[in-house]
Amino acid sequence: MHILATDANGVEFSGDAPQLDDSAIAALNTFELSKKKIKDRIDNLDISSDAKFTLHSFADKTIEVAVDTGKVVIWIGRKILEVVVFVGRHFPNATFGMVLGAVIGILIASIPIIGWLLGGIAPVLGAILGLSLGAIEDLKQTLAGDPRVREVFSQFDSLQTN
Amino acid sequence: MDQENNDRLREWHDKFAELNIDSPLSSPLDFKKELHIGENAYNSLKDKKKALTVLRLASGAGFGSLIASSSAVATTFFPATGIMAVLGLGAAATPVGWVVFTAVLSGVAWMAIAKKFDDVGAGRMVEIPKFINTPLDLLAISIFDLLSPMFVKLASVDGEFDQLERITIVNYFVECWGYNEKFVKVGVDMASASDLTFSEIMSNFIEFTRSNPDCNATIISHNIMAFLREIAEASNGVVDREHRALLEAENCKHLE
Repeated sequence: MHILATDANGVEFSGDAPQLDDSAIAALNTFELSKKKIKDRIDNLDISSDAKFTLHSFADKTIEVAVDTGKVVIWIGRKILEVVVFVGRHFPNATFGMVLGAVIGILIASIPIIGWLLGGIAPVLGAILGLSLGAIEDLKQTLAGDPRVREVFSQFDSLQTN
Repeated sequence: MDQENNDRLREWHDKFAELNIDSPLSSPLDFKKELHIGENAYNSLKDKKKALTVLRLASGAGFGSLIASSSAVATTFFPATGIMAVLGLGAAATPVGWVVFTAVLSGVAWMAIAKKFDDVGAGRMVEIPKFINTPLDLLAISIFDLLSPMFVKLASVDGEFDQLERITIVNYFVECWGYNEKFVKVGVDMASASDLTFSEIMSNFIEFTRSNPDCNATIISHNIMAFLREIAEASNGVVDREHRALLEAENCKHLE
């Protein structure tokens, strides 16, 4: 299927994702947490209001996929935040910022469309949250070796483009 | 967040499970509104406000231009679209246009106009931040823990805490602050057991609102005083002991 996304400046990303089919789209658009629950979680984080606002904007990030009947929107920001919540639950000693940084870092490096989509917002979040790159790198290594985390990340594989 | 806060949250979360609720709030927007913090909730916007204050204080047009020439101001305030563009001041998106704009509006006249708009705006419009800095449930629980015993103490000062006073307090938390009704009903019962005196609770509350970055202590205290009077009047009008407690509260408000 063909993926299309446009950033705030009108710059487009376009690519073919051969692994992306109807069931993969359905899986990416299936959420454990409602939009309200995501907002409630953000509301209750111990981070600045600026960081919360940026994070909430991040949750609204989408990409479009061309299907036979037209276009389907994938709520990619929300999906990534769900992964952050999942990882945070399994690594309770890591701070929210570290988990967010590690998850985004892994996804940006491995999935081109996510790298393109979040390349602008990630440094802003990093700066607002005061993230330490060293700590994030350590956590990334740990996450990469965890089979539960690898399984959660595998749902983004369908977004790999040629 | 310190250990005490964590323990307090954990204690309440156990209660939430019993009550089958997720949060002490059913309307977070109402709660944020009652904090009266407006756009001050955002640190980056605070910088914008500071810069605007400096601009207002620059009473001479020349000085206004000087400040506006700085790249910091230029990049912060230029709207690429919006009313300036509509008015043909789209040139204000360039530093030169902006300098013209501030030079015209700086000086005493601008200060007077700006002050007038600030005063009018304060009464006519309520700004509610989408997010605040403190974890929301924690702040909601903290404020409830401080306010509920204060209200119950005042209501009980005449010797009894009657049903009408209880309903008045529950409705205030639910309708005005956006708290969950189940939470409030249980919390008000728990508040009756507080050992602190009325003035101790009042002092703690004022200290808390003044030290928390998400609370406008002045407006909150003013609104709480108004509600304390409402409680006192809730059954049989204001009796002497209630009147004395209200005076005590007023004194706390001014002495802190």
